[in-house]
Amino acid sequence: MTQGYDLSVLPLLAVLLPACGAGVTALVSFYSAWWRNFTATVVTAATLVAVAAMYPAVVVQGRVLEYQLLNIVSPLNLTFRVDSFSFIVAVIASFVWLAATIYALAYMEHEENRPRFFTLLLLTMSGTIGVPLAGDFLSLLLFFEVMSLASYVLVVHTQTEEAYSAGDLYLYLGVAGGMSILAGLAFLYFRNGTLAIMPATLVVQGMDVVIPLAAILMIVGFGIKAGMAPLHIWLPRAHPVAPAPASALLSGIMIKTGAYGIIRVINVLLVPAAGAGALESIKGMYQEFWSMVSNMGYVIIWIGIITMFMGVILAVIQENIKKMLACSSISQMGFILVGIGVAGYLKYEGAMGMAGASYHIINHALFKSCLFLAAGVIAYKLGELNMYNLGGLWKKLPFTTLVVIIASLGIAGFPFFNGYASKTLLHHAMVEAYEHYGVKALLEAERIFMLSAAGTVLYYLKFIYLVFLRRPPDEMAAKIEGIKGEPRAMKLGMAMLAVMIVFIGINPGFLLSELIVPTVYSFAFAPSFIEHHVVGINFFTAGDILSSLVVIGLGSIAFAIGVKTGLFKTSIPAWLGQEFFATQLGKLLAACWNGLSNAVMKVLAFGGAIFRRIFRSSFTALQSLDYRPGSSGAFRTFNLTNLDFDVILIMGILAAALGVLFYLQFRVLGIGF
Amino acid sequence: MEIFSNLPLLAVLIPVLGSILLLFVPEKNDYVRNPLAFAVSFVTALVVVSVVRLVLQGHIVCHRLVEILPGLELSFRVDPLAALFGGAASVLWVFAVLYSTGYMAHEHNRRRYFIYYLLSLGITMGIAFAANLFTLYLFYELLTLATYPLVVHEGNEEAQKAGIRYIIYSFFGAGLILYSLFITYGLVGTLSFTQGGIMAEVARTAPLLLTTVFVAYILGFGVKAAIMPLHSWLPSAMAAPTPVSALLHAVAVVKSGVYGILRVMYSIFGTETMAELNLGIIVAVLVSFTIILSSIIALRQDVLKRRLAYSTISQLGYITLGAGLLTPLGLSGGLLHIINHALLKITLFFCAGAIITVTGKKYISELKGVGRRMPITMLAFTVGAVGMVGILPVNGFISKWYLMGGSLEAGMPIFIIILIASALLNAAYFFPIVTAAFFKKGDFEAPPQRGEAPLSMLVPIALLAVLSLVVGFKLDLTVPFVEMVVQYLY
Repeated sequence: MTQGYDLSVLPLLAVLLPACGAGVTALVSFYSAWWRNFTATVVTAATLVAVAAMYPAVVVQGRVLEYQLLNIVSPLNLTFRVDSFSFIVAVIASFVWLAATIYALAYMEHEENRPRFFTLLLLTMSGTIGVPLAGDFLSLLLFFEVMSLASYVLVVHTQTEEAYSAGDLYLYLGVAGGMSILAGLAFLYFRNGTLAIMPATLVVQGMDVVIPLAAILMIVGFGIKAGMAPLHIWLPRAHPVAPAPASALLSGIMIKTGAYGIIRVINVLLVPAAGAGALESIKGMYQEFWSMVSNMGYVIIWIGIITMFMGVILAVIQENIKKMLACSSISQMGFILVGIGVAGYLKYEGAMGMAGASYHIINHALFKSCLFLAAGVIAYKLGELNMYNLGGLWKKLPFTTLVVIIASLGIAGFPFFNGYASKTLLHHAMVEAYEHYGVKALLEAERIFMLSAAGTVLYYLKFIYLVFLRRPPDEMAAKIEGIKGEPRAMKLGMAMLAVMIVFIGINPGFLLSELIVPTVYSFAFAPSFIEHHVVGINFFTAGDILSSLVVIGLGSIAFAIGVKTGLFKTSIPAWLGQEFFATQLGKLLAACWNGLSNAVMKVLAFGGAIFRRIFRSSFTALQSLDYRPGSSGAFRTFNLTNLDFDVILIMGILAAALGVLFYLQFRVLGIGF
Repeated sequence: MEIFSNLPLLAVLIPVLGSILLLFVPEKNDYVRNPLAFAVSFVTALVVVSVVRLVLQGHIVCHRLVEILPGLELSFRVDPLAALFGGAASVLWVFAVLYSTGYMAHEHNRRRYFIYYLLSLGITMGIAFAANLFTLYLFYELLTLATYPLVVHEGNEEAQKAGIRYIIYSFFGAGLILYSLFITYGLVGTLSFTQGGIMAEVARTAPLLLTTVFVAYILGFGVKAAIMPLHSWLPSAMAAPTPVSALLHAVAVVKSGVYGILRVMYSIFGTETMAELNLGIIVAVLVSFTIILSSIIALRQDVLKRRLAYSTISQLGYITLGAGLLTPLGLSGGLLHIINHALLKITLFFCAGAIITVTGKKYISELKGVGRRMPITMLAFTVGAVGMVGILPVNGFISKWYLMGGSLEAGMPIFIIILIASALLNAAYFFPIVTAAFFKKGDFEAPPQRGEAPLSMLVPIALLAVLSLVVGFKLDLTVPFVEMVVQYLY
C-alpha cells in the first residue's frame, strides 16, 4: 500500500455541509414545509457525495487526507485525517443518513415539531460524520459532544414522559462519557504533548501508568456510547422512544462512533508504530506496549461476549418491537467488540478481528437501520408496537415484510446475506484467538458466541412470525384490515438499505477487497498475515456454511419449541428484566437518598436549634450591653445564625472525604508536599 | 516599559463624573438617563480598551496620584493582569448598562440605581488598576459601599437583610485585609505590586507570621471571592435586581475578590515565596472543597438566581484553584476562567432576568416549556449551560482544559477528579432547566404567544451568547493575552 498525505478540504466540507444545512433548514422551515424537506434531503445527499468523493484518494490510492484549521478549539487545531477506516464509518453513516432522511419525509407527517426534527437531524449528522473524520482526539471529542447533545433532542422528540426520562438518562450518561474522555485526553495531552490519533510510541519512550489510565478512561467514555455491557442501561430505553428514523440512526450509526473511538484507542493509540518493524518490535522496546494491548484486548473480548449474550437475552424477552431491536443492537455491538478485542489480543496478527469488526460495523448499520425503519412503518400505520397485538401484516404490507425478511436474514447471518460475511470473519477471528494461545476460556467464549448467534435467529423468527405471518389477534384484525400500503418515500428509504444488504450478501468478497482489506492494512498488523489470511478469503466454504446453518437450525428449533409451548408468552419473571433492574435500582437509590437526607435534615434541624439557642442567648446578652435609650437594635439583625448550619455540617462531611483523598494522594502517591 | 499616562485615572474618573451628572437627571426622565449612562460606560470601555492596547504592546501604564507616606501612595499601574481584569469588566459593563435600561424600565428608583451602577464601574476600575495593595484596599472598601444601595434596591425586608449580611461579611473581610496590610507594611515597608513579590526576604525570617498573614489575606479577599464558609452573603444578595446580580455578583464584585487573591499571591508574595511556604496548597484545598460543596447545594435550589449564585461560587473556585496550583498552566486556566466565566455567567443571569421580566417566574419548577415562548433567550441559556459544564465548543471548556493541565503539572491529579465531578454536577443542575424549558409541557403556550424580552435586553443576551461561542472557537482571542499575563507574573 502506498502511504502518503494529501491536503484536502473534503472532510471539512463533509462536516460543514450538514452543519450549515441545519441552519438553512431552520430558516427555510418558516417559509414552507416542502422547501424544508427539499433542503434537508439535498444537504444530506450532498454530504454523502462529499464523503464518497474521498474514495479514490483514500481507498484506491491508500493515501491519507488531512486538513487543519489553525487555532480553532482549544490549544490545538481543528484537524481532519481520513484513512480508509475513517472512510468506512463516514460513508456508511452518510448513506444510512440519506436513507433515513428520505424515509423521514413521509414518516414525520404524523409527528409534531418537524422543523426542529430536521434541523437537529442535520446537526447530529455533522457531529456523527465528524467523529470518524477527525484528525486528533480533541477534534473527535468536539464532534462527539455535538452529536451527543444534538441527538438528545431527537431522543426526546415525542416529548412524552417516557421519552423525557429516557432522554435524561441518555443526556447525563452522554455527558459523563464525554467528561471521562476529556479526563483521559488531559492525561494524554499533558503527558505526550499531542492528541493526534497515532501510536503513542511515536512520542513517548517507555510505558508508565498514565497511558493505560488515559486509555481506560477513554474506553469507558466511548463504551457508554457503544452500549458496552455494564454501561448499556440507557440504550434499550433511549433508542426506542425516538421517532423511527432517529432510532434507526441512533442504533445503526451513532452507536458505532463509540466502537470507532474504542478502536482508535486500542488499535491505534496503544499499538506500537506500524510498518516493517512490527514483527521485530514485539520482542524489542515496545514489548510492554504489545502486552498491554493484548491484555486490554482480552478484557474487551470478554466484555464483548457478555454484551452480546446479555443483549440476546434481553431481546428475546421483549414484547415491544423497537425495544427488541435496541436490545439486539446491544448484542450486535458485542460482536463488534469481540472483533476489536481479538484485534488487540492477537497483537500484530489480529487482522482478522479488525476485518470482522469493521465489516460488521457496515453490515449492522445497514440491517439494523432497515429494521428500525420497518418497525416505523408499523408504528406509522397502526400506532402499535407490541408484537403480541400484531399479526398477518404480510398481506397488507408486503413490501415491509420483504424488507424485514431480508434484513433479518442479514442479521441472522444466513448465507448470501450480508451478516453472513462479517459473522464468518468474526467467528474465524474467535477461533484464531483460541488457537493462538490455547486459552481454554476462549473456547467457552466461542460457544457463547455461537449461542448468541443462534439466539439472534430465534428472536428474529419470533418477530417475523408474530408480526407478519401468523393470523392477527381478533381485537386488532379490523384495524389491520383497514391499512393500505406504505408511502413511497418510506419504501424508497428502506429499499436503499435492503438492496445494499442483498448486494453485499451476494458478493461478500467485493466489499472485502474494496474496503476492508485497505482498512486492515492501515492498522499495525503484519502485512504478510493479512495477505495469507484475510485477502481472498473464501466465504462459501463448506465448513462456514455448515456452521451458519447449525446456528440457524439451533435458533429455529428453539423458536419452534417456543411457539409450541407458548414459552415466549410466559415471559421471564420481572425480577430478571432489565427494566426492573433500572427501576428498582432507581427506587433503591431514591430510598437511600431520601433516608439519608431525611436523617441528615433531622440532625441538622436539631443541631440548628441548639446552635440558634446558643447564639440567641449570647446576643441577648450583647443586646443588654446596647445601652443607649431607643437603641437601634442593630444586634438583633446581626445574627450569626445566618451561617446556615446545614452547610457547615455538609462541609464537615465533605472535608473528611476530601481529606482522605488528599491523604491518599500525598502519602500514598508521594505527590504534593 | 513603563509609560506615564492619565488614561487609568480617566477610566476611574469618567464613570464617577458620569454618576454625578446622572444626579441631575430627574427620576422620570429616562430619555436622557439611559443614553447618558450607556455613553458613560461606553466611553469608559473605550478608554480602558486603549489602555489594554498599550499593555498588549508591552507597555505598563502608570499614573501617580498622591503619596501619603513614604511607600504608601495612591497610584495606578496597569500591568497585563490589571488589563485583563479591567478590560473584561469594563466591556461587560457596557452590555450590562444596555441590559439595565431594558430591565429597569418598570422598576422604581431608577436614578439611584444608575448612579450607583456607574459609580461601581469607576471603583472597579480603581481596583483593577491599583498599583499597590493600599490603593486596592481603598477601592475595595468603596466598592462595598457603592454596591450596597444596589443590593438593597428592592427595599423590602429580604433585600434589607441581604444588605446587612453583605455589609457585615464584606467589612469582616476588609478588616482582615487591613490587619494583614499593617503587618505587611511593617515588615517590608512597601505595598507596591512587584513582579516576583516583595516578601522574598521576609519569608526566611518569619515564615509562620507570613503564613498567618497569607491566610488572613485569603480569608479577607475570600469573602468577596465567596470561598466557603464565607460565601453566605452571595446567594442572599440575589435579592438585588438581576442586572446587579449579573454584573456585580457574577463579574465585578466577586472577581475583584479573586483579583485581590491573585494580586496577593503573585504580586505581593510571589510564586517562589508561595512555593517555599507551601501556601498554594492551602488555597487549592480550600477551594476544591468550595467547588464541590457549592455545586451540591446548587442542586437543591429552586430559585433560578440562587442556583446561578451557587454556581458562581463554584466557578470562582476554579479561578482560585488555578491560582493556587502555582503552575503556569494552572494560572492560565484560572485567568482564562475569569474571562470565560464572566461571559457565560452574565449570559445566564441576563436570561434569568429576561424570564423574570417577561413571565415573572422566579422558580425553576415554573419554567417548563418557557423555551417555546422565549426561544432565543433559552438558546442563549443553553449555550451558557453547556459552557459551564465545560463541553467542547463553548468557551468554558478551555479554562477547564488548562486547569487539568495545571493540576497534572503540579503533580496533583486529584484536582482532575474534582473538576470532572464538578462538571457532572454542573450538568445535573443546569441541563434540567434547559430540557424542561424546551421539552416539558408546561404553562407556556406555543408560537401565538411567543414573546421575548425587549430588544435592549435581548440584544446583549444574544451578543454575549455568540461571543461565548466565538471565544470558544477562536482561541487566539484569549489565550495569547492570558499567556502574556502568566509570563509577566512568573
